[in-house]
Amino acid sequence: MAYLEIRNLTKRFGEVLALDDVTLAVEAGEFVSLLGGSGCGKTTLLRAVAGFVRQDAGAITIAGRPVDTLAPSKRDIGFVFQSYALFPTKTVRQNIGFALKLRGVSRREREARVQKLCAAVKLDGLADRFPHEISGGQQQRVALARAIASEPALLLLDEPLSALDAKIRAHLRLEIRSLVERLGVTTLYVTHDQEEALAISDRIAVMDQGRILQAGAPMALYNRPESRFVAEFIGETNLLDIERLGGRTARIVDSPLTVSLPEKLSGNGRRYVASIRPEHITAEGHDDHRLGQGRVLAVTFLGPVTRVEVGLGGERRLLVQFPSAKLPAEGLPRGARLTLFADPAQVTVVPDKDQA
Amino acid sequence: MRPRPTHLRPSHLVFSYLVLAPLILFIAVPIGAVLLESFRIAGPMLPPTLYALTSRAVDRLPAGEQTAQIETWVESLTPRERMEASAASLSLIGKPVPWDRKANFDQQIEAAGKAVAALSPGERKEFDARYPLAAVMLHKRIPLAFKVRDRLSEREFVELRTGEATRYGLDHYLAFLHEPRIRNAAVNSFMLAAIACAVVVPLAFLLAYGVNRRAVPWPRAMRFVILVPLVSPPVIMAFSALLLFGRQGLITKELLDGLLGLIDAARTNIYGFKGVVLAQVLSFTPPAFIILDNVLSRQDGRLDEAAASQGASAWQTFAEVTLPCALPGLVRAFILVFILSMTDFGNPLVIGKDIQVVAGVIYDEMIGFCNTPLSSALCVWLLLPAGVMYWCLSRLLLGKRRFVSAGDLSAPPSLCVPVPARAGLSVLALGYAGLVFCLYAAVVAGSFTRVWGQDYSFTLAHFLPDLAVTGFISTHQGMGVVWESLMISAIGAPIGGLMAILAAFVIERLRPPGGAFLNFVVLLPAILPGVIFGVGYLVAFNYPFGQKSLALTGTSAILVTNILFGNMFVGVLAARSLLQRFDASIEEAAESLGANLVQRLVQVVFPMLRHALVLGGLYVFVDGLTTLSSVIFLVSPDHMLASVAIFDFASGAYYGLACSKSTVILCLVALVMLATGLFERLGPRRVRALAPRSA
Ligand SMILES: Nc1ncnc2c1ncn2[C@@H]1O[C@H](COP(=O)(O)OP(=O)(O)OP(=O)(O)O)[C@@H](O)[C@H]1O
Ligand SMILES: [Mg+2]
Repeated sequence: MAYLEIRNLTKRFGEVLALDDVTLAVEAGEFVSLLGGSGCGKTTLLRAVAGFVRQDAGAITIAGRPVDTLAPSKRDIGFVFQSYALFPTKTVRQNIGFALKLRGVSRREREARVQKLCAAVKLDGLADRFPHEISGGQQQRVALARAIASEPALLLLDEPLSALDAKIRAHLRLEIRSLVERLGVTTLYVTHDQEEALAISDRIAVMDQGRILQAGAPMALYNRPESRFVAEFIGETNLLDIERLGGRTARIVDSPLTVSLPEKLSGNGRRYVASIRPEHITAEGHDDHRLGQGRVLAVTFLGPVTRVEVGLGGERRLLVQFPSAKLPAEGLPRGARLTLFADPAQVTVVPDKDQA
Repeated sequence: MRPRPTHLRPSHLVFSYLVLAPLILFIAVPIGAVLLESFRIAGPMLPPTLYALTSRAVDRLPAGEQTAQIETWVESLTPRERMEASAASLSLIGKPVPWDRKANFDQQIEAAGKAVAALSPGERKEFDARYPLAAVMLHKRIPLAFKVRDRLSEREFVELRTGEATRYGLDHYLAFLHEPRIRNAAVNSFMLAAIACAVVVPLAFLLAYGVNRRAVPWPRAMRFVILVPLVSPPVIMAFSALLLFGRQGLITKELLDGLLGLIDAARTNIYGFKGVVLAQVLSFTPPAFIILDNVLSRQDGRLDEAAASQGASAWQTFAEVTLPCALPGLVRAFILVFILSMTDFGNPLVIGKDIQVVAGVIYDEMIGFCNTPLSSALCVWLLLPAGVMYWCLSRLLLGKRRFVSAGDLSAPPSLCVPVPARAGLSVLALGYAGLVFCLYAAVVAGSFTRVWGQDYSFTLAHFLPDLAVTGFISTHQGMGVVWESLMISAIGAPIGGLMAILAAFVIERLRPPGGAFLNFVVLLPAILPGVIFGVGYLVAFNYPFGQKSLALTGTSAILVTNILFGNMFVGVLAARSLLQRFDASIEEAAESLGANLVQRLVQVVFPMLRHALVLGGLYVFVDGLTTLSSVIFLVSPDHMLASVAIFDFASGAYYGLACSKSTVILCLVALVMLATGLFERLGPRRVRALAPRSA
């Protein structure tokens, strides 16, 4: 049985269905991210696990123990808030040592452990400052140290890096990951930044409108999205219309490329689209893999790779990414003709959005 | 703060100071006057000063008469008077008087003759030069004063006639050392303030906590009930408590004494110290509640959740997080209640039997003896403990911690208060609200009752003076006094609102040199108790600049200005915070399009500040109907205010009249607030339309 089990969780705030039948299992020591756009219910799910929000239906178990009626203080969790929620009247030392003090840890031992935690999150020398006397990044570290001070078995983080600027963010996320790995703590991490989620998670659960659309390893999500939303949300992609040829085969419109439909077809009359990542499109290949011909509309050189926008005629466009080394030395002129190919094995067919 | 505009045009400067001058005149001057007055002591002049004054007066005698007149006066002196003149002359030339001034007069006269004869020739010459004037100074000063009265200033005349002059010193501050009455009052005031703080601050905190954590039933209605006394007539809590628990009280006399026979209402009743405590607790809980409500409603609920996720129980969260974060509010509430209690004379006078308090002494000294210097000094004494305490408390408790929360990302608390605490808070809040409700019900009932405690039959006499109870004659018995109050409020409100937003505009936008100081001046009445503001007006505007013709005392203008400037800070604060939200570039845009200052004000600023205008005006209006502490020193038989009349009726035990006027005022206030609320709801579309542009 997984360490954290969330089964059929539903929560409604008045008109808004914040959680819609959410099921998710997190193994002990696993790092799982909840990824989704604003208002999709990530925070609500995390807060339900912490016990700050009581679900309308469904059940949560932590370490095999049902916690639905358990107060937050009894759930053995650490929580990192988006706003850090550091106690403004306590120093860094008192903030970090708060959980230990509550557990009756002696003053000497507390001092020693706070010292260690400060070292672990690189806060040496700041222990006697108040929260408003340290920087945002340092506040974030204090919040993290405070959350792990009582050595909880489950760590919950709600967009802990969203208030920081990009550079610190990239740096801190790796620190969080390595710290969590060292402690072996099971972690649920909320973010709306897909790059962040891809970089640090064992698994990602993509959420939309209160539902988990797909959960899986970053690679799996990237390479085998199961819905148009996930394909578009994680990385960049080209979406092409397809014609079904019967059975589980289909052909991309205006191209000889045949692709196969996913194994479990969801419902009849459901429309499907093909998703092809820009880096999976090539300028040469087998004739059966021909996607079409077009003209170069725009070229962006990005160092190791170059992105090219190709117009296929009409409104249809493709975003292509070539390794820069493979391009002619003089580059690609605008208006140049290109024939593009794709390997059907790298094309995923996903259900289209629900028709409104 | 943004830097001051570098190029302040002369016209703007003139406009700024025109707007700000009244603030100096009507706020800073009276408060300064109290301070000055508190050091003023009238006492005998020192001989050299008096001699100089006499000599100046003698010079004013018609030139021809001078010598002859002085000779006549000197010759008319008795031997004893001559001896005294000799003694004075000797000390004027700097020689000690060589004989015993306490011996009998014959001996002294003889000794004086010898001492004068023993002078060296040089000394003798000086002595002779001083002697005639010294004689006049000692014995003929009064005839001299009247002779040259026309040629002296009023002040010189008085000083010459009485031989006394004003000097400045700490005497009034030290009065409590040798006046047992004041010492006793100080002890009582201090005890009352301590008890009021000890009860009110925790009570208000629990109520605010219950309301904000939704741990009490109907939190919004509860907040409303708790705040109603803020817009009520003065001493309403004291006399309504008497209606229920007094000698003639409904509960004490009718229920416990008459029906159940448990007590003797004539002996066991609320009068005295406990009554004052009750009345003060009920009166000061609402203002303390406002402060704490404000603090608690801004607290970040995430902090509670953080504590809970760390394993803190509800109680530990309260003690470790909620309470420490509310500390600044608690300190402020504590100081506020302390000041309010120290400066409260109404409640002790109405329900205190003969408990003497310092504020009561001030009231007596002002109303009875017009002793402004002593009253002023006592006013300053009232502030001192609170000031010292504030300083100490902020040092000790608050230190360098900061209490603001994360702002945008903070959220209201989501965790529930545990059931037992919820039950306790509910009982407390319902009990409190129930008591307040009963007291107000008693007031309304009292206004239709013939004689409370004796004749409970229905009557309208308290509203209609023609049906008045016989045996009591007061010019303020009818409703006329309420209309007078209403008039004064209605005049003051629009002026106050307008002046407030103009002042805010000048302080916030034009930023003339000295603006920060004026901002402080506007806020002074918010901090200083009304007693000081009232005494200050009396001191400053009785003989403004020594001119009786400029006197404001005894007019209704002094009432309007006092109420207006005493409450202007509300409008100024509201307008300033609005101005800070709107970008100054809106007005600069208007100006770049060619609008002058007046157009800028009328077209752009006023519509923006409409809410502040209404709020500032409303505050002045409500205060005009309900204030007591400052205006009580300023009313006159011709210009009475309903709130003062209510206080007079209540302290004279004419409860029917106090009740009926209170009821009418409560209705008026409710009406006006309702109307303002409607107006505000219908109105501010233009303001909202402006807002996005500034964002
Ligand atoms: N306490 C609440 N009361 C009412 N509605 C709420 C409450 N909390 C959340 N919601 C609603 O539930 C939905 C999900 O909110 P949630 O905070 O979980 O989103 P989120 O995924 O964390 O978004 P974000 O990335 O913006 O933080 C939103 O529509 C929100 O408005
Ligand atoms: Mg969120």
